[in-house]
Amino acid sequence: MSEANKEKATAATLPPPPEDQSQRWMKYGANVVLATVIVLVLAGFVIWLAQAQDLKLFGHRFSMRVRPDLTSNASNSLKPQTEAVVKDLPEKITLVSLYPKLKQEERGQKEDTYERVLNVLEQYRSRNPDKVQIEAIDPITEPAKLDAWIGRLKRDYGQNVSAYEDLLKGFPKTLEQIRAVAAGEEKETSKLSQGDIEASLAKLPQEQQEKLVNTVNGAITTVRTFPQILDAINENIKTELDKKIPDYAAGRDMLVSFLSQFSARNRLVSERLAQLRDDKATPPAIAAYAKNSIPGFDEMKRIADETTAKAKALGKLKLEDVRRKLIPADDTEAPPPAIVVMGKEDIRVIDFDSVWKSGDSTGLIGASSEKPRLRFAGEQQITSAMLALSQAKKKKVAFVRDGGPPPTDPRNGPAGLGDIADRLRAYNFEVLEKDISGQWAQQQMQQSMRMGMPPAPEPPDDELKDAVWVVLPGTGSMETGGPSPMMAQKLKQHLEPDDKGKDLAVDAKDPTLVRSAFRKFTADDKGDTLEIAATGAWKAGKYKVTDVREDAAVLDAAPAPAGATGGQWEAVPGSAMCLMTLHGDDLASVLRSYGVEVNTNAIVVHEPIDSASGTSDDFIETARRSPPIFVINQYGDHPITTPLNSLDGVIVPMLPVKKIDAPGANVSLILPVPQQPMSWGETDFDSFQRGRKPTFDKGKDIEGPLWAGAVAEKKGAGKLVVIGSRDWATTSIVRFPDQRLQKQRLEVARFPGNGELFTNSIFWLANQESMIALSPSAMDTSRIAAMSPGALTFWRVGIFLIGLPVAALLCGLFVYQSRRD
Amino acid sequence: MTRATVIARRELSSYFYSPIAYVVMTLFLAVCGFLFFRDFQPGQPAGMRTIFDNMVWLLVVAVPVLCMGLLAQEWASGTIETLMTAPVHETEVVLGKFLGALAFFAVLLTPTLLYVAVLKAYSTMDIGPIFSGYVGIFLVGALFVSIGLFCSSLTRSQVVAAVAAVAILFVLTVAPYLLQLQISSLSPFWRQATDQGVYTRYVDFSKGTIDSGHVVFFLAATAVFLFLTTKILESRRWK
Repeated sequence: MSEANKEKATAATLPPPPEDQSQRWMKYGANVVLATVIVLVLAGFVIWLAQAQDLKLFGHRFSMRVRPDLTSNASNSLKPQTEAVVKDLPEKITLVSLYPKLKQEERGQKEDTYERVLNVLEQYRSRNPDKVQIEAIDPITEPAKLDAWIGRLKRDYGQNVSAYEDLLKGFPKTLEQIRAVAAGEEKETSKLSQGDIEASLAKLPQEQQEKLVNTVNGAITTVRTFPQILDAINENIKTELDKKIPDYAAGRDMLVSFLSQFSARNRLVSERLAQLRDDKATPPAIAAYAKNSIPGFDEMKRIADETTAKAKALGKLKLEDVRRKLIPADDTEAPPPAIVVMGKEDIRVIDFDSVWKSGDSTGLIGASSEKPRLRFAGEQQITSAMLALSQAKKKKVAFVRDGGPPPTDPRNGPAGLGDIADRLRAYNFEVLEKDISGQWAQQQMQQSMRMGMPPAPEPPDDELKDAVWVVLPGTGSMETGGPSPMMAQKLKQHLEPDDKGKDLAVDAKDPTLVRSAFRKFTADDKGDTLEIAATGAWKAGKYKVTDVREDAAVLDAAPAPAGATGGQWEAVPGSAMCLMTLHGDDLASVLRSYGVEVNTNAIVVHEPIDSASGTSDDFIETARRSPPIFVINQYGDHPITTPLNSLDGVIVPMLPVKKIDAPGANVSLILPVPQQPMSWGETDFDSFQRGRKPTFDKGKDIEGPLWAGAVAEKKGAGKLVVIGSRDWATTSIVRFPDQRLQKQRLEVARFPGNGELFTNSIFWLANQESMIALSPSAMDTSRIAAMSPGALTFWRVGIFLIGLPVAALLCGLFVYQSRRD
Repeated sequence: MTRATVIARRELSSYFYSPIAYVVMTLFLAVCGFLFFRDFQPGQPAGMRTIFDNMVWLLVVAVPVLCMGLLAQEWASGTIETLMTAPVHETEVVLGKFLGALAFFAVLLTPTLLYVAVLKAYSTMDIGPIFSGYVGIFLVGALFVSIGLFCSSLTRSQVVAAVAAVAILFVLTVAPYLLQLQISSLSPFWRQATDQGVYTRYVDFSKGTIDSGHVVFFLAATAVFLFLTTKILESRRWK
């Protein structure tokens, strides 16, 4: 073995030299660093996994996160429906709280609305942090931040304010044009001498005389009276424009409403004058007048139509909500507290009264004299606003009546109907009112002509097409001897519209752009649905109108290849809620085809409960002894009623509703009438009203079990809800507060079920199913009871402030002492 | 595990002989008593949310003071050598110390149950949020104790350990909260980052919601700091 090999062998048998410090640091330190990194990554992964809400694994969605809400009323939880809306938000939403922080001296005196609102907004954000952002601005202590935010609003949403302003400021010019034409017409009229007319009339038969006089009078009235009314409108607009923050939207609505009527009037006069002109029996002087006047009336109609079209094309005034609810009249004042929901293109302001409910703001009667506590009920409003901002078009609800004044005006109808309308507005519905008979509009027009004042606006029929109708059938008058058939006809037309055409054509270049010569698309159609039938290359379906360009609609998908023609379209059926009334129109021609029949000559009653069986101080308990009053907490088996089961509701005098056979109809009866005590449909309600106790007359009365409402759907037609009472959601009992909760200073309706069913029905009819059962059920936590000043001082000072800390200190001293000893 | 329990028991009993523990307890109860004194008035909501919300800020200072001596004192007095030569693993030492301190933290909270009893007597209070508040504050306490223990393992000076722990807790608790007050001007990244703050995670508990995500966060973060403390103790062998 060579020397070199020997050395090698010796070295191999020796133990390795000890590691120096730097080697140990490298070896163990690297191990520690690696282990630490692994632990941190693992911890991060576990945390991420535990809070991930929408995981996907092999095509299955699941969530590891659970959030049990331990509060007794689930007040920390958003409703599942809200969560669904927030999760599916198509675009980013910013929620801004403009609530002031509670000052130290206000604690205990006022509700801490700031904290509560911020908590709720935070819940929204936590459900979809990518799409929901929140901001809080205290308008009192952060004026600079507030000013910057308002500036941002004007920049982002205020583009069409100037267009509104231009329209209103340009109205005097339009008025001048109308007045000039009207003056020309008046000149034409003055050419007709009274003598000529009387001589000509004498030669005509009676019927023709009347026609001629009416037409000429109509023409004269139009050119003399309408410009005066337009002057009055102009004055109103001027006054509005002089205000610091003008109500542009109201000005535009006034213009549209009146100019629409003016246009209709001119069209009518022009048509009648044309008839006179073409009628050979018309005296030559009058025929010449008719011929010369027609262009003038056509011109006035053109001017009115042009201005109306311009006004309608303006779209919604986006900063209107901000103006009305947020900007104080005086610059030195801070804006009132509000929650602002900001979408990409529009904005909604939810004011204080909409979210904080007390006895006053809930419309409850007999609210306590003590200052009521405020209850947060803003979830519905915030979610509705989010939903509205993600919709192209605002949903409408129209209260449709058969004659008489608008019922939601408290001066005209049951007090509660106005509250219901306000509630719907709070859910972002546009509320309209319409007298389907046209009598009210006529009366208003006559009155406005007499007084030279602009008439109250009534929406044209076109605006009602896509609205949910709340039908209030009439009882008719003494003269007519019963209700007019007009309501049933109009309702049928609304639910099963016959608007259709076969002339749909796809643009040669853009396959989503469609035109129809029969149906001109307008800005109002944006957001609507166009139903197309399957023919040839056309694919059947409901297409959404995403935009309108020069009478053509841009659809969300191509219904046929570019250049295709002959597409068949149908109007989308409307939906309605019918609130039936005793001895009123039974709407049988419509309801029967839906498989629903309402007996308008019977009232649901129960056996009278003997008052000797026990007396009660509770007004409600006394009322429910009355035969037509039932307290219920079961509402039937339908998506609009199931969330309400267990909530108290009340059946006020109601008509029995039953199901009948109807081809293609799908009916669910709702509002089951309790069978205990025995109940039936009393046909002799009049004698009951005169004080006679109702008794069941077999063969004459309607035997139970009975129902007081129905929900129906029919193939190819709209949705329908029928309730056997006009006052179901508005009667005074419904607005009576819960006395038990009132003692705790909580103003909550004793029978919330009625109002909830009403709004759920509207949501369902408006195809907003996700909003059903979003009731503000959150109740306040309980409060500390009153106690004697001595007890209060004992606990607060004696125990909490001094007793416990001193006890801990004494324990420490005792230990110290004992250890020293 | 039995050895960890023995260490925990010893640690807990040592607290009862320590004047600093009583001082902390007195101050803690004085501040809580003052907060409850303000809230306990007829007509006010029957809850303990104010106490729970403010307790977190109090613990940012109180827990480091309670935990500063856990290991630092052993380092300073040299008893760490005795402890480490005993047949116990570093993990058991760390767990024992942690459980002992956490048990004392529970003792610290116990007198506040009197508030619950008084509330119960004077209202029909909602027990759910109070229960979840205690669960939350216990989890926060566990995390803070683990951080205090970690800092205590780094140095032989108790004061340095306490200051270091307060600094870490400030970064994890106070700083994200202060940043969130400026939330409108925060970028999405910073908003996400501040959402990981202790107070943001804790506040759901005080409202009455137990979020599994937050529970796991507190448990995982506590485990990470206990792991790091074990590694610090182990490093004694190779440093």
